[in-house]
Amino acid sequence: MKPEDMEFQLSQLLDGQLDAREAQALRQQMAQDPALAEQFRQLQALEAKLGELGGEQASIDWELQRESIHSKLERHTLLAPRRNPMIVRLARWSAATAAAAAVLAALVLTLHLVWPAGRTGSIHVVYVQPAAAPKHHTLVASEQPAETTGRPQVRYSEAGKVPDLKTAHAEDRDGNRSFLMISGGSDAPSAASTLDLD
Amino acid sequence: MSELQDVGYNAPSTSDGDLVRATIQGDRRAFDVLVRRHQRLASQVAFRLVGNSDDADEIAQEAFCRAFTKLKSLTQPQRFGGWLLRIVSNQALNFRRGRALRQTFRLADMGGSEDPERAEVSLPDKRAQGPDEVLAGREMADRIGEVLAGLPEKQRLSLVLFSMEKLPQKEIAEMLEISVEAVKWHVFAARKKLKQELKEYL
Repeated sequence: MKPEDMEFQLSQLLDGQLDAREAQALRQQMAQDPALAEQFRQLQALEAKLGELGGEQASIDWELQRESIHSKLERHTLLAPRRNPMIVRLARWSAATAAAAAVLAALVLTLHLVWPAGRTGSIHVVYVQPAAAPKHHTLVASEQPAETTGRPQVRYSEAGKVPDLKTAHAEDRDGNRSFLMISGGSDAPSAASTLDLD
Repeated sequence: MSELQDVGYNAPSTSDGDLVRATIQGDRRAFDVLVRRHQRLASQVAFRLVGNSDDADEIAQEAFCRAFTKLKSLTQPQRFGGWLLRIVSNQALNFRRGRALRQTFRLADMGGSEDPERAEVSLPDKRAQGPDEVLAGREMADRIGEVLAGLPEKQRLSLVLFSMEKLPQKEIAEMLEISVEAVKWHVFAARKKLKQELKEYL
C-alpha cells in the first residue's frame, strides 16, 4: 500500500469509517510499526484540538445580527438607483442597436480597407501546376504580376531543390491582390481554377 | 403577506429553493427566514476562520448582504446553504488578508515608535508569551486558522464542517455539491496539511 493510501486509511480509522476487519488489521499493523502508530497519535491529537476549537461558540446576539442584516439591506435598497422598467428596456434596446451599428461600421471599414474603392471585380484563386523546374533549382517567387485568370510567370533560383511551395501572392494589372496557390507536389491540380468571392 | 404565509415560510418544510425564489420575486420576509435558518452556521464558520466573534458577526452580515444582492445568479436555489458558506469562506479569507496587511502596516508604524505600551497593544509578540499552556493552545488555534486559510476552499470547508461543526459527511456533501467520498478525501487532505504544519504542537 502506498504511504498516502495508508494515511488515508488512518484518517478513515479515526472517523470510524473502516469495517471491523479492516480496523483490526490496521491496528495490528500499528502495533508492529511505531512510526505508523505515531502518525495515528498525531492525527488523534489534531482531531482532538479541532474538536476542542469546534466546541467554542461564537458569542453573537442572533437577533441583533438579523436586525443589522435587515438594516443593511434596507439601506442597500434605499440607496440603489430606482429604475423604471421602460427605461431599462429602452436602454437595453439602445445598447443592442449601438452594438449592431458598431459591427456594421467595422465591417464597412474593413471592406473599404481590404477592397479598394471602385473595385467591382472578383478575387481569384488560381491553382497552377508549375512548369517543370530544372533539376536542383528552387522556385522563389512570382516574377511579375499575374493575370488573375492567367498563368503566372515563375522563375527558379540557381541553387537548392524544387520546394513544395504552397502559396504566393500576386497582383493583377489593376494592382488588386489575388491569392495564388502553387504547388510543386505531384498532387497539384493541373488546371487553373477561379473562386469568386463576391 | 398574511400571517399564515409567514408561518408557512418558517415551516421547516419550506425549502431554501422556495425561499430564494420568493426573495427574488421581491418578498423580503422570505430572505429573513433564510437568514434565521443559516445565520448560526454561517457565523460559526466565519468564527472558525477569523478567530473572534465580532469579526465573525460582521463577516456573516456582509455575506448575507452579498448573497442577497447576488441571489439571481444562484442557478440552483435549493443550494443556498452551501453557496452562502462559500461566500462566508471567501469573505473570511479576504478579512484575514486585510488583517495581515493592517498588522504589517502597524509593524511598519511601530518601527520608529518609542512607546512600548503601544507596541504591546498593537501587535502581541507570540514568541514572548512563554510556555504557558493556555497561550500555547491559543497560539496553536491561531496557527490552525492560518493553515485553514491557506487550504483550497473545499478542503477548508470540509474540515471545518466535519471536524469542528460535527456535521455528517452526507450533509456536507450536499452543501458543497460533491460526493461523500470527495468529502472524506478533502478532510483527509486537510488533516494531512495541518499535521505537517502543526507538527511542533502535536
